[in-house]
Amino acid sequence: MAVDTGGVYDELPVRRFEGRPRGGLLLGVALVVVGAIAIVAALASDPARAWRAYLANWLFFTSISAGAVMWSAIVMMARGLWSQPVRRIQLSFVAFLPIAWLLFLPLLFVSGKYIFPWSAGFVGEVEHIPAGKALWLNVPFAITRNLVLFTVFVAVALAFAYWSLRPDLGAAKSDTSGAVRRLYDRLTGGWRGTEVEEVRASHNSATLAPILAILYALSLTIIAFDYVMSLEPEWKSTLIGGYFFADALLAGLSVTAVATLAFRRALGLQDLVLPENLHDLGKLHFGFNVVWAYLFWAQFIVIWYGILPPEQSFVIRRFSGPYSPIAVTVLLCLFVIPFFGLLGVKPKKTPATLALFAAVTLVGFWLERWLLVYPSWYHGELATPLRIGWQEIGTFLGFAGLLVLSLLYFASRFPMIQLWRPMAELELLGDVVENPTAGAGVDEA
Amino acid sequence: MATVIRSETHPAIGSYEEVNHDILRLLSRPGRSYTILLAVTIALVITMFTAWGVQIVLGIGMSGLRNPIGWGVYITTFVFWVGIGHAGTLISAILYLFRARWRQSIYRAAEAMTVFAVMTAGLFPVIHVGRPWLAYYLIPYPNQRMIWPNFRSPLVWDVFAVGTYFTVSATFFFIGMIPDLAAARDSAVVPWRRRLYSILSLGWRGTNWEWKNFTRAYLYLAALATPLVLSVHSVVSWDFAMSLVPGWHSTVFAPYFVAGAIFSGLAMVLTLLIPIRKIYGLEAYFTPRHTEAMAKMMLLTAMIVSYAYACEAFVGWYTFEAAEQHGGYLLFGATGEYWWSTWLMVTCNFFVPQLLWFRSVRRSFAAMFVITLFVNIGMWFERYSIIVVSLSHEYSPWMWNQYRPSLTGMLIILGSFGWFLMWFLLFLRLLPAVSVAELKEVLPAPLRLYRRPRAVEETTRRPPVRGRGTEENR
Repeated sequence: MAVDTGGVYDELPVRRFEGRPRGGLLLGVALVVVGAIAIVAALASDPARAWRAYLANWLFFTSISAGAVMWSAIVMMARGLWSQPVRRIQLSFVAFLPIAWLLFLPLLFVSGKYIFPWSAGFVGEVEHIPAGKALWLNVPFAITRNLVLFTVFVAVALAFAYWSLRPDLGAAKSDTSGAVRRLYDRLTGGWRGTEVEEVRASHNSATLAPILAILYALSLTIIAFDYVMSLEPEWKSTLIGGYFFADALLAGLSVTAVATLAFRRALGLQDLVLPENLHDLGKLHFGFNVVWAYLFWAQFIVIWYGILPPEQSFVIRRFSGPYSPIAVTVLLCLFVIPFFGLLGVKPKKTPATLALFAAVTLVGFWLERWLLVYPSWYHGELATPLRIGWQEIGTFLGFAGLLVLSLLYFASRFPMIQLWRPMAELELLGDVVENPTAGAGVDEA
Repeated sequence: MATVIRSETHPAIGSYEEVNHDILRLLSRPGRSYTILLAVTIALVITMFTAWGVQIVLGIGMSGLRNPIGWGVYITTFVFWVGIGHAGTLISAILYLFRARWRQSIYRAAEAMTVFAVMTAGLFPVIHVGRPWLAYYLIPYPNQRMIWPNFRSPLVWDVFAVGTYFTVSATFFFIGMIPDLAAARDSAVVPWRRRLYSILSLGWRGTNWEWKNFTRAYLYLAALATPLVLSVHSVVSWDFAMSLVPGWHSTVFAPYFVAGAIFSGLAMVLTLLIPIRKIYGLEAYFTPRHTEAMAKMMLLTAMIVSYAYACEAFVGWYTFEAAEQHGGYLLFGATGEYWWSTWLMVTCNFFVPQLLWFRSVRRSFAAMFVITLFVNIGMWFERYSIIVVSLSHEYSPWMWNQYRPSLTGMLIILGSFGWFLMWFLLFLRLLPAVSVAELKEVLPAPLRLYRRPRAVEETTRRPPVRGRGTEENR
């Protein structure tokens, strides 16, 4: 088992960026500047398209960071001992969530008339909307439900992150100085000693993790209902919410793999993030590529078989005309290529191949989020030309810059490897330490 | 000073020897209560076949099925038993791949349950179609006898899905048992048992070469069985979702059915194992740790199922189509003449499992037993609601009708429980009910200075160890 046994180190492996990671910061700032220019230019030329590009990118970046944070809670709830070296890297995406929350506000309050076909003064072709749906499809209610759920989700995610970090901050405090030291002091206020704190943190994060999971599902479901399903007001799918958030879990894993390999290199974590850990991560990634294919198929086959016009239009728009190559690319990138690429042990353990297939999945995921929304506005004659232009890519770069900066913010302050272990896992590990043979048997799997 | 190292997963088991003793002890002459229980289940099986016979002679009308409700309690019970069959493979294959080590002592019983549940489920399509002598029509073989199977029909997919699932889980069940059957062979005293286990254990001697191939086969079968856990109930759900019946035509059905199946299967495992633990003194093998882990999975799946209820109800309303709003089993079901069925399902599958948030409930055998009974009932009524309520209220009002299960139908369902329990009881006495070999993997290895805690009571009915064969097999 790839688990280091119970944290027996000569020194605490506190790995974070000491000083400023200049290259990364420069890259982040440059991306943000480019993105900001692109967004402003897009707004000036075609505000509808600018907001739509904004929405597609917001869905992408929110999904991947919420998915990654969710994984750090899932592995804790499932007591996944293998995940110790990657858990904090997953958690580090929590730094983007407050930014996602801020970026959500203009989307909610300003962009309505460019996005929702059922809102007053919609810019674009308006379809038939059954009158009774106004109870659900009205802007004030849409803003309220999205804002409340997403705010609570982000708040609980931050609380969960706080309790995951706190015991480590207490342990690593003595190595720090200056602003970081002051931050640690503030975050470890009322410190009651390592043992008590670890028990408290175990207890609190065990309480918060399931709450976070429920909020994650609810919040992303409502986002999917409003920002995907309602864009074609006659369309319905009971699975769209589940598909949307389970899909984000796959992207959360891809982004974990990419970030793990990047941080492994930049922070010299090779001694802590072992090939065995990458193997486990790769297996989970492979499994979720299959889960994506399953959920896609579960949704597709029912609609295909039913041949009900309002249901079919959604699928036909995405699988025909100029969109069909994109749809095929999504299928290839989210399932076919990573499935065959990650078969076997080697590709999962080799950083280059794992990163490659995770990156392929991320490309597919961006296209998939784009494909979920764009054909709803641009279909029929409007579908050509394909709208992946400087507006979409520029907005993407800006959001990517914000993500890079928020990750660097996290990584230059907090240890990127979780040092403490929740009580429940120590119980499990106690066995491994005393009896090293007990875990054998399944390891080759 | 001898130190006793305890397994973290099964702390009350002292030694390898104790495992052999405790488990193989079950493969002996049963007591009176066992015989009585077996007789009761056989009586139920006879009842079932009698009722079925009556239905065959007098016609399918005896089942209470009539237009428009052509699918009634038989299909409900079919889906129920297929669902029950999911926990076994989940525990034996998926948890194996996830390295959950507590599974070792319970997976064998769960797997057996899976096989028997699928065997029970398999009866119902045959009962339902009315003319069992034509049951081979279910198996599509193109062009022969001018049957021309319609491969676009989900009913055909179902035959493939359930057939594959049965084959793979039965193979997995059998392969995993081979080393234990060898251990049983080596300690069997009754001649017919020794002959039986000799045949079944395929000449297993426990050589390195055999173990190597065994573990490989086991791993690959686990990997093959894992997607099947998802596929079977997905295909079963498509029996419904492919149609346009309001309430059935729903994209969430596949994952929703799978989650429900795992939920009900875990509940059934607990319903069976909690009394068995008590009766056969397997306290050391089935601990609060097990109920806790299974209860957590039940809680997760209950939440997924409840999420699906919420989505179904919401989208039913959101569609703003009269048929969906009135015909959907959730909205119409909650207020219409079948309100009791819908509310029973919501109560048993959403409200009652909320108790599983509490650790003390998860670790209490009595509480878990009661909760799992509720879940079993709730999951049967979930299928009843989906099938009967939806069919009773389709698009056009002249098709609205009610359905009342007949006495024949109820007797057959009751008998199916007898059929299932009969096989399970036979399994308990004929095959090793706990995996001896795999359990030893999670016990601490024997040490030189090891002090056996139960050294005293070795006199009674310890199976003779021939040439220390069983010990060396490990």
